[in-house]
Amino acid sequence: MNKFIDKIRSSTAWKSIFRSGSIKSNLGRSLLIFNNLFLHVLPVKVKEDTLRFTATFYLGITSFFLFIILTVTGIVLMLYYHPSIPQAYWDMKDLQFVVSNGVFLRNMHRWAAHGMVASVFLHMLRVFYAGAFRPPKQFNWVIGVILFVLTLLLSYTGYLLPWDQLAYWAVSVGANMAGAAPVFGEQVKFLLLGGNTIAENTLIRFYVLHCVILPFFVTMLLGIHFWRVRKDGGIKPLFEKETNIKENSEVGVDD
Amino acid sequence: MLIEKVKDMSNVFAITSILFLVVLAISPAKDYFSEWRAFQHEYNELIEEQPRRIKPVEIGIKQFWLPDLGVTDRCTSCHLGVSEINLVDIPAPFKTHPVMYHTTDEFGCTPCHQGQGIATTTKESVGHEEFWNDPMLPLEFAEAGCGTCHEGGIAAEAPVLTRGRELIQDLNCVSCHNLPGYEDKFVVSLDGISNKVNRNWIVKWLSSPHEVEVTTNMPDFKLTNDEVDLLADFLMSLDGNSVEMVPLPADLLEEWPDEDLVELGSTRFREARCISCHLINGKGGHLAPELGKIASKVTREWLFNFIKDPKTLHPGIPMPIYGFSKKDVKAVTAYMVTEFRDWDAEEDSVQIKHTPEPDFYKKGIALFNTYNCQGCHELNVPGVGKNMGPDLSAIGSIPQTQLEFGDSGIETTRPSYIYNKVKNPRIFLENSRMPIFDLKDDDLIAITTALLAMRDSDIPEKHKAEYRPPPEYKPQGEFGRLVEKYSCFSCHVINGEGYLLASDLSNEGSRVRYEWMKSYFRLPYTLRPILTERMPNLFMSEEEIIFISDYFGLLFVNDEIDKIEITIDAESILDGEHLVKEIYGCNSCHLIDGEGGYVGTPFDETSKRSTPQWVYTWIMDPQKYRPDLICPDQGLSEIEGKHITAYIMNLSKK
Repeated sequence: MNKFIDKIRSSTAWKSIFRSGSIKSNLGRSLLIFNNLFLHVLPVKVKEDTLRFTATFYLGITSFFLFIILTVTGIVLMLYYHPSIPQAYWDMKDLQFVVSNGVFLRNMHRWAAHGMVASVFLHMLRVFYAGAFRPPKQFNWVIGVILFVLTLLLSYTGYLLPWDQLAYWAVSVGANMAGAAPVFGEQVKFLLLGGNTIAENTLIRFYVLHCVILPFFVTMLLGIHFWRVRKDGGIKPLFEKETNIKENSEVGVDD
Repeated sequence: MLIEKVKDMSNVFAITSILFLVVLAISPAKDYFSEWRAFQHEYNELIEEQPRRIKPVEIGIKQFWLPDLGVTDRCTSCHLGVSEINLVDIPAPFKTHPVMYHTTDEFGCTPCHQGQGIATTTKESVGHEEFWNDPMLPLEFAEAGCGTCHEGGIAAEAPVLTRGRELIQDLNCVSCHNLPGYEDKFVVSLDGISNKVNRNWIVKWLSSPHEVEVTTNMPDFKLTNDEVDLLADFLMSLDGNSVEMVPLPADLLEEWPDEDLVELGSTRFREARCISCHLINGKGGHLAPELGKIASKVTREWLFNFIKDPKTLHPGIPMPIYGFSKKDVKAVTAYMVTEFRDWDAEEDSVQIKHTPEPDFYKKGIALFNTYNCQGCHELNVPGVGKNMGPDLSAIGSIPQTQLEFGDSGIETTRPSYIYNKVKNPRIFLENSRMPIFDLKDDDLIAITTALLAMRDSDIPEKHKAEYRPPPEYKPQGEFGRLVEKYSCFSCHVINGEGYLLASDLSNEGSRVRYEWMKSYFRLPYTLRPILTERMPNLFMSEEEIIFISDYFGLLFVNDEIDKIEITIDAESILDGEHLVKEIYGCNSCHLIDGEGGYVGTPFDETSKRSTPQWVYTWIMDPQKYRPDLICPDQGLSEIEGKHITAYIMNLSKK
């Protein structure tokens, strides 16, 4: 079995795609990480402690996984949705009644969205209570906070898209809250709604924010976030004594 | 150690993956085993058992997409037999649609039935759910769908809706509610009421109008005794009448007038056919108030003046001004005050003594306004104003969430709300102002249907039925004055104006002979033996009779009728007799030589009355000028028609 895997890994095709052959040494492992666009954000070695379930409760990766689900279902939903006022609501109804698995798609998107807000929030709490915002992780903490805000904004902008009463009034409340902010409140509200009331412009604005602008920033920041997580080291439980941590146990590939 | 850990993890991974796959499979499975798919398979099996071959349905969602109307109706995904003519006896949802006046391709389903057309499950398509404002109309109110677009002209197709609209008009709902399309009805004014009726009568009347007069339209306001007393005191305190009344002549001042006078009054009362409109002790028409106890209701002076000239006392009243002589007026009054008394009431009046509250006037006027009495009854007193109820112009599309059901416990739907509100107006709120109309169930359903049709509908104008209300016709000059005086429009229609109780007079000049018309005005008789509502003797003067007859003969003619040529010769008469007696059996309804039925007009008298052209027009298409006529359209050929006409015209000449 291992021989067979070795053989494949030594083939020209494998090497040309993954830029590393069969890995026998630490150097090989390092090269695997360095030469791969997707893996190179990760360090060559990760401490086993930081991978323990109790360290993070896997809340970060859960959030990321939900984000993937949201992206996939969101793209499929975009195939059926017109961001225009008479049509948007009827597209919801069509999804409900005639699109194959339409209800499932919508529900996946909806529950994943709720789940993501919750898991991102819990992730943030865990990081906070573990004190992982302290140097050298202060930069990544700030990135995390921005990601949290972006998650909330994604949730908020997605809320308007079904164009039903709930959407309309929830967004009214939100916009009025923005409007109540001092100094620039009214301007922010105007910018957000694309006018003085919730109308066609608002729907287009929210649609573009929801499907293009916000996901773009989230993806960019997620890359940086993951990169920093590995470079700075993961969460170390705050109150565990340093001595309890095994210095030498590190996890590598194929150990 | 690590490898063991990874192995454990892979087991967990495998199990969760399988679970995840199962979860993913649920949705496509639900999609496949959908309700509509099952119905379509059932339908395909069912039609195989049918004697006639019916095309099986291709499995898939069916829909009508009508962008103009904003309609996407998927109802026919399950209601597969709607347009099949041979599935009448099949159970729902595959049954053939009963008579359909529109094609589904043109209108789909929901513009008439309401409901959620885009839905593909039974529950959601019916639409009794939180987020659908217009659930399907229950079957008994289905004609409300017709009324959404049709403002009128569909009496035969939508009888319930039409009846409901008539009732809304008749009960004068517009007096309190804004209801576009309905007109204010004539109701007597209360000005000078203290000179008309006595206080005891008002008290009885206000306490329970239906007990005093079974057929009245006046609803029961369920007033408390105190409220009744206040209103009665207030109304009786309104002194004076804008119209000067003629004092009673000496003969009528005695309690019991002269017997000869009463005798003459009785004759005149019969000749004037008062009971055509008025109910007396259970007999007579329902168009006007009951007269059985009138002498105990109104004062003698008022009655005398009213018979003399009803339109001065109550301008606009549908009662004609009879051409009675002075003596006739006295006689009819004498007859009525002798005969039509309520003996119980007269005993009561002796017993009841009442002292009004000190501020009865202020409180009375407030009550009068609270219950919007002014809505129906005019009263020119300072401080009296209109106090309307809710606007009902869009009651048929009011969101169900805006209806307040209270703790009534009834079904919380729009039709149920309207039905119960009309049935028992105080059901949702005890101190609600709306009075009780005491309607039968059929009438309640009819009214509910008509109200449900009052919708803010988004159906574009071009799809709405074109309904032109009949043109308004206002006779002018001397003729106009006579039409007003004799209230012709209370029973007759001319050029679309009036109420069709008797005949349409628009073509009268082409229809009847001049001499007959004059004799008929002098002494009207029943044209059809079984009719109950009959033309009264209006006691017109000779000049008036000639004037009206001339006017009819010159103006209300129809060239289409007048130009028909009819020749009456022996051969056609003989053939006509054969056709009438042997072929079409007209004598089963019409009298011929004193024998035959009593439903239609006697043929024996026809030639004295009608022109041959009219007889011909009438028998060729009986419903042409009288759509509700029961005489069957025999589909006569021209020759047959002319021969029958010749026979009928020859009959009474013998």
